[in-house]
Amino acid sequence: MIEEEARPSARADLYGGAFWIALGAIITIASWRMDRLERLGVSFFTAPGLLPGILGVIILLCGLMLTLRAWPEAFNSNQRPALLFNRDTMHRVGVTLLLCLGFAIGLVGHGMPFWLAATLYLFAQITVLEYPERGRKALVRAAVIAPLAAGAIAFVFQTLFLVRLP
Amino acid sequence: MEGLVLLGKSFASFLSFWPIVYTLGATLVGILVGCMPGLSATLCIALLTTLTVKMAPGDAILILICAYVGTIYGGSRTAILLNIPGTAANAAACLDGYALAKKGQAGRAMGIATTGSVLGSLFGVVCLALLTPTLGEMALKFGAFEFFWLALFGVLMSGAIAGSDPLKGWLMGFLGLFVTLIGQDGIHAHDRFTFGWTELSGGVTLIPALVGAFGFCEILTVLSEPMSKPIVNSVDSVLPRVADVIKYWRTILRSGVIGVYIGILPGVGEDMAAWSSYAAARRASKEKDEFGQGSIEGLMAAETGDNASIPGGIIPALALAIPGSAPSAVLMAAMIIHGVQPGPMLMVNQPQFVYDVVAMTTLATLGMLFFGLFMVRPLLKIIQIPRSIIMPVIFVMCVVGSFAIASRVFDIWLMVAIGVGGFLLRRQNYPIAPFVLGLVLGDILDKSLRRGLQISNGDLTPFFTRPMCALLAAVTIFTLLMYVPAFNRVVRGAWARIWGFA
Repeated sequence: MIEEEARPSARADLYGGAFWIALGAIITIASWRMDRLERLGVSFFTAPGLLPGILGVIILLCGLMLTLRAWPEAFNSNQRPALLFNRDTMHRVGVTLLLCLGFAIGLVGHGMPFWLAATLYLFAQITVLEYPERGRKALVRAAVIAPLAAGAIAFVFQTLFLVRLP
Repeated sequence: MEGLVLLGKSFASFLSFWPIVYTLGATLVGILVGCMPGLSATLCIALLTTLTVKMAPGDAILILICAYVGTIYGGSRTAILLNIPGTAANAAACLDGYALAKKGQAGRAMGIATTGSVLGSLFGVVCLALLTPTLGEMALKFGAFEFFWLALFGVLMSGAIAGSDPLKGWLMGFLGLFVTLIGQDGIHAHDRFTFGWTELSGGVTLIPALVGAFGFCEILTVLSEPMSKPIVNSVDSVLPRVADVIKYWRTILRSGVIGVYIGILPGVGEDMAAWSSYAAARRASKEKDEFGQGSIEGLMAAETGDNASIPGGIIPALALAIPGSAPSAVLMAAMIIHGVQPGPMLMVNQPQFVYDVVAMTTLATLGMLFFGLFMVRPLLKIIQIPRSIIMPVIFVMCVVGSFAIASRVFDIWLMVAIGVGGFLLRRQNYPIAPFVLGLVLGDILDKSLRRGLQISNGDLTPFFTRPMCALLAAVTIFTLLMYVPAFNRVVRGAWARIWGFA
């Protein structure tokens, strides 16, 4: 369900190709320089870097093919820019990412009780998503749903199924 | 005969109170998840794996299989009522299902979907019972060389078919293969690409990676789109008509065969089974013009095909430890977590387990029939829950799910990193399924290649001359070459000359 303006353009594929070439090259070099454990009598054919090295070369070649395929069209003057998102989408994704990362990396695993961290995240996320449509009612809705949902998840995982929470 | 005795024992062991409760509960959860666009069978199984990690293995696997069958079936509801496939597997059902709903026959369409799903699933179960032991016996003769080709074939097939651009699909497959090599290698326990980070030594754990790829990635995708309120079509009677089944028995049988066959192919999922069954039904139909306009036959074919491919995908997962689809890959990972080691030795060490899976899938099918006939209207309510509430709640569950298996906060970061990376790549038209298959098959590919080369002392000949290797190599190379336009033209030209059509 990619929006029309965000469909990958040839220019985006060109940048993508460059990324894959760089990644393939890094993997190949790192695999080549990896310890081959010869001092332990390990055969070259079972060296730990064998498959990663081969994969690095293949990724590099595929990246090269992607670049060459996109090249002629990428410099066409009518070509759309290599944007991933339009402004609205960028805004929605940015806020969602910020809240998700804030919860998963900032709140969880730092001593705060999980139910509280989940309640804070759910309240913020539901409010942000519903505010444009519902206005202040979104706050009330989020204030009711967030603790209930967080409590239910904590109860089901921890109490019913004995799963440790972060 | 021995197989029938084992099957009887399996059925007997599940006919008690708790297994029936688990069957109904998990199938219902699966149907509910399937009803919600954006939530996939893979995510459902991955999250339930973490939820059931402390349960007895038999009960946990029963729950996962029921959820798997329920999710694929549940996706047809939104396909019919909203023209939005609940899971990728139900995309083909949108074409005729939604057209029927617009004509005021949503209930009939759901009845057809239920019939097709149940019959497809039962056909798949029969194949699961018959083919798994046979394939397992054949696989006992497989060595490192054959497993190398099977793993490579799986990743390449998945890459070629999963998206619209095979090159991007292959890149994702190779990326998945590479990512799974991070951490201690399986032969010499040497750290690869860990950069001195102890947590990476354990490697990229499958469940958090899958939750990131199918959960967080999907949440970001759904939330990046404007919110809209679903409008549900009215529903007439959902009771299937026997006349429809009798009239289209050929379509059901054909779609069942196609579904199982595609399910068995490594890396080709339920969505391809549905589309292939749909296309085959259209080619063979006398009512071609009705396809896309509300064809009963088309809907029946799509739903039979995708549900038949579920047991089909479990066959290679059990017999070869090479899953047929992304959800069966998670199922396989869950089996390993619960102490069952899928692969050629399964029929030798735990033959009862194979028949347990047959019994579980049959129970799941009966659960699906029950909810399909009697719980349609309450289930429709779930479709109307706004995504602005469902998606954040699912993200909280993704965080818990990533942490639950190993109790490592690092796994939460891993899930987030893979989710964000997957989301950005998906925006650029890179499919996720080959990446996941790469993650699952990377270890097999790595060990098979290195063991094979050690056995042959660096000689590549056995990779091409052993009978099964020669066949797999030929199919793999031919599949690759078919994506080279010049070769493709030559083959199609030759095909047209020989058979009279391209």
